[in-house]
Amino acid sequence: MGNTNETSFLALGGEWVITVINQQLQCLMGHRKTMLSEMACDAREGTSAAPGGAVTLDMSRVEALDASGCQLLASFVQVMRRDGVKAGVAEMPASFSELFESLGYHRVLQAADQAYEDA
Amino acid sequence: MTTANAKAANIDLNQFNGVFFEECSEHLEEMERVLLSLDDAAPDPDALNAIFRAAHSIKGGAGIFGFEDMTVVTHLLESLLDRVRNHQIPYSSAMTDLFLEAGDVVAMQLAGHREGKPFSAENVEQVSLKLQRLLDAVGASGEAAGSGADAPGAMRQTVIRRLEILFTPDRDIFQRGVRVENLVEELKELGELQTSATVSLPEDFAAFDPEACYTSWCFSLTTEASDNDIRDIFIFAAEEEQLVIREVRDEGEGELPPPDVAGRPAVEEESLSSQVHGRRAYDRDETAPGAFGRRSGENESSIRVSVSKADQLINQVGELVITQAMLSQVAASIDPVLHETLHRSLLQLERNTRDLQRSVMSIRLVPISLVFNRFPRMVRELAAKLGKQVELRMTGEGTELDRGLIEKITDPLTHLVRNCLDHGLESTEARVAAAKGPVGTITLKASQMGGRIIIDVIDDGAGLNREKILRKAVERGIPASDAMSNEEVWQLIFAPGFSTAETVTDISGRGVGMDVVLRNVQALGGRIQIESEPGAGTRITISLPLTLAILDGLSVGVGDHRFILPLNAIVESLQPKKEAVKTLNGMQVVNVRGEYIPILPLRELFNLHNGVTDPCSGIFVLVNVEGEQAAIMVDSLLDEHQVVIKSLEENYRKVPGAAGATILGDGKVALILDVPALLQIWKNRTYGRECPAGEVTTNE
Repeated sequence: MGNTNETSFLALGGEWVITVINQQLQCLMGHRKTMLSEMACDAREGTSAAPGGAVTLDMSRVEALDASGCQLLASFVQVMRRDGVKAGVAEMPASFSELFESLGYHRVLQAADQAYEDA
Repeated sequence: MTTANAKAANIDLNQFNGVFFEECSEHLEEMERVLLSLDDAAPDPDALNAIFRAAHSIKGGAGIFGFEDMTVVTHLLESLLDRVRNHQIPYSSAMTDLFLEAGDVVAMQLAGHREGKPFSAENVEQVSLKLQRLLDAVGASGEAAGSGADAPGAMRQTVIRRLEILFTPDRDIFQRGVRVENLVEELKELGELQTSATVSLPEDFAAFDPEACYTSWCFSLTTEASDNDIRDIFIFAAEEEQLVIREVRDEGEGELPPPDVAGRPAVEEESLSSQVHGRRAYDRDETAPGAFGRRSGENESSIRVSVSKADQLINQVGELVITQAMLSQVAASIDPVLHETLHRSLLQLERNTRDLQRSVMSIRLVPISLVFNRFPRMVRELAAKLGKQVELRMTGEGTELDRGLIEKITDPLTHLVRNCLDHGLESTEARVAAAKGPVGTITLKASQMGGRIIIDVIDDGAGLNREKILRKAVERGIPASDAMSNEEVWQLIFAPGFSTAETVTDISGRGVGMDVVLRNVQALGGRIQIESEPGAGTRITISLPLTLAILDGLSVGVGDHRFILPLNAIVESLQPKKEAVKTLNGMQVVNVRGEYIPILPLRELFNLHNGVTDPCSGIFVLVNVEGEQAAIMVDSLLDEHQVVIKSLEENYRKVPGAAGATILGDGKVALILDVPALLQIWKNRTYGRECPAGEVTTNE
């Protein structure tokens, strides 16, 4: 990931379902750790004009998604925004987008967006 | 998951029918048990909820597994119960009878489906009509009218409601395989749906478990469906308190409010008042497809194992015990000093094997409540039929005994209880005239004592009539005299065809019961005793062995053969003096403390060619069977041990005089003696009646 002032793209792939969801969390946690340490570094060096950054989760290569996957994605977005990083999802295939919405997780992202704006 | 969805997912639910049948039976039993315990005047709300949940679970499961006919009666039952528990209609004893009848009809349908046999549609229709009439009678209010729309097949009233459904599942819902996506799809089928999810994350994201569910949902549903239709969707996913349905009466669009989650949403008062821990159907089925799921986080107190698997395990452990005995026998001939380690190890093996056998045998043990629980309903109905007031008390229902015994003791106990009701207890008028309380009492008591199970059937009725019994015995040509003790007179009622009943009722009185009861109990290695007091009542005590699989026995030798005598039949053993042995009416007897006891020579009974013939050179083992004594003559007393009983019928054929066989440590087979049968065989031989072929010779 590059400068935290720019938007980073995190390409997600594989299956985001209950049977392998732990592996996906490990992957996300790794990226979060990297982002947070870069943010801390920037803050110490005073190199970032504005705090935080942005990350977009690119879901174009996700092969499967279930409720646990939706929960993980929504949770990650929520926690990143709590960390001061504007996070969002993009390139979500239509069927997954439909699932995300039917399970109500789009509202989680909306609420997180609002919280980010308010902060 | 609906049947349609199962089909779509290519899941064959037929393989799980067995689980549904078992669970359904349990729900029906639970329903009956709770109904019978209900106070009609002030029914316990928890009890009503329990009955409702049982009916609801049966209906839900029946719908999923495609047994739609079972949903008709259960749906009506559920609707009525819902009104009762919501205090919309008062409960009455007539409802208890009707609900019991409805349970019987569902049980009939269940049996029909399980066994693939047709059942009476007329019965189903009759009960459905009665339930519907009651529902209509109490449904004069608008709310009740709305319930009619719930009945399957009934015309639906188009009452569209806007509902807010708060769903707060357990953390393990994903791990259990519950697919929330499917629940949402099914909700969409009911009407217009909007969904809002709220995720409550832990403070430290490092503690986040992606397999756990941190989400709560709020569904806004505009639908004609009833609350029950919605609950049906969540039947396998949510306990009652995890699903809150409320009607939104505000007009206008609005943003769907997120569920109030500080972890979990606020629960409405009425839900709290009915909050009990329900049991979801099929949660314990480990082989169920993902849609049914399993409560992985819950403490499982039991698992289901088929009886055949348990029996197989017990059999194999029995073989292990025999093999261990063989090893011990071989080790006995090895120098214990030179091979100390081997001896110590074999001792340890013996201890471990016994412990294993004890643990495994306990698998076969089931509580006697399985039998006792059938009696409340039977007593209630028979008492009503006889016009008597009866209270049934039960204690010691948790007493465990061998499963094989449970199956065989049911009929004898049923007969004894029916006898109590019909003959033992007086009518209300007679009781009052005798200065007794109007309500008669039948007590069923079970306990364990000294390796045996003791079951008492006690009534506080009129007691046995000694004169009547003696008179009847004389009429039937059964030897009896006034000099007999009360205990001896009571035993007369076990004679075949004996009955002092003035009239034969369909409840009892044909005189074919008590002798069968005695025979059945004796066949289990049991005994029956009777105590009775005129005007006070009667106590019948059945004593049974704890298990049919192993036996404490005394190994005896006759010639080259070994036999096992059950320890519980043995009184003592002695070596007779010459002057004590007499011949009386052609039968050899031995004088033991002034009493002449018949001698049963095992050598002759089993037609053995070697062994001691002179009584004074043998050893007599005195046995007592139902008050009757005999002296079994053997060559030697060998050892006392616990043996594994093997069935002769299964492995060879029925051998008269033998209750089974066992394999000894040296690999030889020893017959386990059936002492009551031996007594009978010897009597038959002595009095010249027909002898069983092969094993018994005539007395020369």
